Amino acid sequence: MSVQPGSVVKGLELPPLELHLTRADLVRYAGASGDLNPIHWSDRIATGAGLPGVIAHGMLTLGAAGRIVTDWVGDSTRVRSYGARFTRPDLRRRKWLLPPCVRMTMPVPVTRKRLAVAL
Amino acid sequence: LPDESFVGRALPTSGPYQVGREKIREFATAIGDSSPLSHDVDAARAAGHPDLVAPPTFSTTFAMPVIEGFLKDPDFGWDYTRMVHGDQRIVFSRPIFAGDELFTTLHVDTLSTRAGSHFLTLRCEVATAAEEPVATFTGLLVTQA
Repeated sequence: MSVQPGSVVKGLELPPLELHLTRADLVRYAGASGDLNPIHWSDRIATGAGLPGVIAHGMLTLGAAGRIVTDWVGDSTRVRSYGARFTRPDLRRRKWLLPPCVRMTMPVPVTRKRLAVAL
Repeated sequence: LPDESFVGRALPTSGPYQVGREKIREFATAIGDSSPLSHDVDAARAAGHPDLVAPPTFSTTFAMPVIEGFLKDPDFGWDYTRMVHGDQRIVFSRPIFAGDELFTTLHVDTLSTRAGSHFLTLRCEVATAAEEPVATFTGLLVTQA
């Protein structure tokens, strides 16, 4: 699938993506990325840090969520920039969440030559 | 307390990092990206690319070890064990392909303390041996003060 010029209008929403992350996914990402922080695979370390259990890597969430865009444009080399703000976990309030399923859609503001996608 | 004298400094450049086909495939699989451009060399070449295409967040595989090496330096004094990732931005000058040899230079951009936390902005400039810019990888890291 590849997005066609002219088919993009401001406010367009991309198809939603559901992520179901298991511990095996977190372990696979730890190995592939080299991020071996144990809060992503050890319940003992995670609960010791005040978490209910292991949490996903922020960069795993970013990489997986970005598939909404890269699947849509069809060729990830068309991505010029990429970013995210990680709003949870919160260090002070100690609210840490690993949702078993994340459903996301993305509205798309369009400028003349570029488009920006906001989650 | 983190040593503020590091702000504005650049660390010695790391590299070369050799971008391998199997690492691209492994990383793409780990983020659930099944695009043929990241798995099938013939498909990537048919689309006009020199080799397999690295997914946009692939640069974390070689930038984060550089960042970790700095954060674990006792001279800087950062509490790595309580760190969380606040935000992350990657801006590309060009895509990353299998076969690239990349060099990473870490810049310590800002350090501030507010509301009981330290906020640190680190920027990795990624380039080729010929100093062709490839990507800028900028992250905000937070730890308890």
